[in-house]
Amino acid sequence: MNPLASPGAGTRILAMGNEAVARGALEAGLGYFSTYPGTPASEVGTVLQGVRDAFPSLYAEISTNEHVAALGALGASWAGVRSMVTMKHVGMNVAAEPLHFAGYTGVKGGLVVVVGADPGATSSTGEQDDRWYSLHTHLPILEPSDIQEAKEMTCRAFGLSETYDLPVVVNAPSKLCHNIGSLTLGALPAGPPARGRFEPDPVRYLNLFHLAVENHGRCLANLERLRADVGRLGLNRVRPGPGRVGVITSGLHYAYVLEALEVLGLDDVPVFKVGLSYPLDPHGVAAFLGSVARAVVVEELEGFLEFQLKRYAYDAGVRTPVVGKDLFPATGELGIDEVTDGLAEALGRPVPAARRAGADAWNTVAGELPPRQGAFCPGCPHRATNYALLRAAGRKVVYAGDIGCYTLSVLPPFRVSDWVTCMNCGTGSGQAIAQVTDQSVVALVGDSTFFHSGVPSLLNAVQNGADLLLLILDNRWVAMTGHQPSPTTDRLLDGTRRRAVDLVGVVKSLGVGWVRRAGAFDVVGLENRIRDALAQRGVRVLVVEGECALQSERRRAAVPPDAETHVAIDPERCQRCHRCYRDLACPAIREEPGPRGDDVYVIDEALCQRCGVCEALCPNTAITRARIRRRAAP
Amino acid sequence: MRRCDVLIAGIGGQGTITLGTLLKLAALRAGIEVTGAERRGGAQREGPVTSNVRYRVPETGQERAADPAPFSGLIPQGGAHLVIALEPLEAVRCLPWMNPNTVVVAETAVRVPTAVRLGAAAYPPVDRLWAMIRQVTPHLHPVGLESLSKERFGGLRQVNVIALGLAAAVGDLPVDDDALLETVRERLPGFDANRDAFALGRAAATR
Ligand SMILES: Cc1ncc(C[n+]2csc(CCOP(=O)(O)OP(=O)(O)O)c2C)c(N)n1
Ligand code: SF4
Ligand code: SF4
Repeated sequence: MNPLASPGAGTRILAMGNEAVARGALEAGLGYFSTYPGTPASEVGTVLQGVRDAFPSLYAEISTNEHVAALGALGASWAGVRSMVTMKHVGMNVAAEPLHFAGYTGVKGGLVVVVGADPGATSSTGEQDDRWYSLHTHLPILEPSDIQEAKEMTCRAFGLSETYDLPVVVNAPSKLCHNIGSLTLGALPAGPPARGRFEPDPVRYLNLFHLAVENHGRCLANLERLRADVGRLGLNRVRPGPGRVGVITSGLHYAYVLEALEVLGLDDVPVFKVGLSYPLDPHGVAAFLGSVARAVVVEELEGFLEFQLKRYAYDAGVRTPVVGKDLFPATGELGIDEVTDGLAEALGRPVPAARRAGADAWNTVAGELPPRQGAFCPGCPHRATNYALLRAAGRKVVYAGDIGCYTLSVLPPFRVSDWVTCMNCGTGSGQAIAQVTDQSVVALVGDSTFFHSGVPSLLNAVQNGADLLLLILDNRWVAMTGHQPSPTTDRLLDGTRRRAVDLVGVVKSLGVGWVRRAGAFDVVGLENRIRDALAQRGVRVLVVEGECALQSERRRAAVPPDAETHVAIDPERCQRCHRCYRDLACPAIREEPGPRGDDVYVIDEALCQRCGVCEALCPNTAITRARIRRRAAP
Repeated sequence: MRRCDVLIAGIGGQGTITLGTLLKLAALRAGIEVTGAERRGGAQREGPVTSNVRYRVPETGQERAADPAPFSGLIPQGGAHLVIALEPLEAVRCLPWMNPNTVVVAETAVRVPTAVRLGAAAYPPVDRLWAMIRQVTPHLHPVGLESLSKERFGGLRQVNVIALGLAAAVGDLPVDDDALLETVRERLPGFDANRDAFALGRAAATR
């Protein structure tokens, strides 16, 4: 059994921050779950999808997008069911409209919104701090500081939501979502959650005219109730110390601060740990500020705590100097070392020199090292598509790329994406560029991104007569975020068939006149298809089909095929034209010293996925494939 | 309280995170506190991936505190006791976390980044990379893990368990071989080969 479904209260297991969040929700009696995947929060959904056998009354879906997911969770909450919706930070933008109404209507069943933040944008196109949303959604925010707290706070958030009649946000940055460590389980509820029942409540739910104004008032009153209670809820705590300089911090940074103080050899610094970062406890922070001569606020990004606490200090007449954003940068991730350096400066205590040996050495050699970026996996259909697209369309067209694994096409050798912002940025902005220029625009979109937000833009292009070629890269999965099923997933990893959406049918139904399909791995045929499309005008859609290579590899591991294929480059035929090595740049093709002393290209069969693309594109027929049937077991 | 911090580095697809998970599960089995954050690449291959493994071992006789101070998921600079690198360049990228006592276990087989493949950057000679590390610590163990795995097992599947055996031999880990091997048995298929792989890694340390 999945240990996260284990009833054993007190059991210690190894869990990821995201898994701890999921477990916390199960311990709270979660009845409804919705999500649209997004790094770093995706695994919350993976867990809750995976434990449905053990929790048959849990409803858990992967929604079409975050807007749909948030509306769903709100509806389930109105029906009295404890509900949770999770998303990555930028998903909040898509969910923002429903979440601005959630405070107006209030909740019946506790409603928890989990946001995976990504300071440093290590797997995102932005690093926005969603906590600022609460200044106008008025949703309270909990910030766990470690894996155990991620579970405890998520579990508790449901009750807080019901008590204060507001959805509650749990904000977890990537370094917590992807922190794996020991977790002590709590008890699961005795029985399954009851079925919900929706009771109409016209005052709350019909936000028309003066009712909307009244609901706005009730939302603010609920928030004030919570603000008045915060000090008694035990969500914030003070680690006392006789020092004159105090530190205020929240979430993960609490652990960083404690560890930094240890590195600096300081054990007298008082620390105020914020657990509920919206609304801040006005009296708590004012009292803490009043007790020290100077305060340092340790937080990431643009200074959400500092912004609030300076207001409360002003109201309380406390004039203690506060440093925060003048010490720590407003951009990028604030890790343990940045916190240590900042506190060293603020507290006048240098970082011990012994800690610096490695970093100093690094600074002298870093310039000699080549950078390393991600690349499409060996056998990835997107690599083949990029190769064919570049051959057919060259460098003269505008490339309207989008978000998904295929975003890697921004990198050399392909560089076929001229901008990357939010999901659907390709079709969305590309169709307008086509309207106001004489340039040829080629847009790319993945299957999941197309269904997430691409459909209205494509319809818009059709209705307004744009000149646009759209390639829908249907790799059958939401690959980028960890291979969740997409609407076009037709076969699971164990081989079972699944009913998939008819993508070509959907596109046709939008009124697109020119719709074709092509196989990604047949690079020559694909190149020709793209040439055909480029010769036409109007909205054209080419659906490029080829399953994500990682997923087909996993399926082969689960259900081994009955034949083995071997691929090799014949050094006698190879003319070193570099097409496979540089233009396709498959990582399974390597350069090695050959027997005659010159370099030769070889295929590393341990990495090769036998996609056949290099063989198809080699102009010298130097790449050969041989199929060997496995002997049947006796 | 004894601490032991292990930094693992590799590139997407090499099993960096799995290796970290094995080291953590072994701790759980041995009743040792463990945590550690990961830097994952995307779902795709080839990008740098790291995993922090942080152990806190109570001294004998010391009870586990009811509310232990949180320890962060990130190893501070200069704080790694052991570095396990699955690629030479990625070993050097761990320099900021090394100190003169850090033990470094590193794969010798090179994975060429795209920039080098396209001729836009050069990959330094591997000996030069080792010299960079030796500037900070003499305790470097370069081993051809991939070639050992291909030679003995005909593929790359055992690379991580060989690395684990090597780390166990030189890394002064707070988890013993039994805990590591039991974890491997529980989590990875093909235990017979893996037991051999572990022994192979251990033996590689003394070669
Ligand atoms: C608003 C928002 N939600 C979620 C994400 C995370 N995300 C990025 S791309 C993507 C979908 C990728 O699937 P697909 O378009 O099918 O491309 P693939 O990765 O399979 O190539 C998701 C979920 C995001 N960047 N923005
Ligand atoms: S995970 Fe799949 S879609 Fe993404 S790069 Fe790898 S093979 Fe391509
Ligand atoms: S068949 Fe060729 S292109 Fe495909 S994965 Fe193997 S080496 Fe790479």
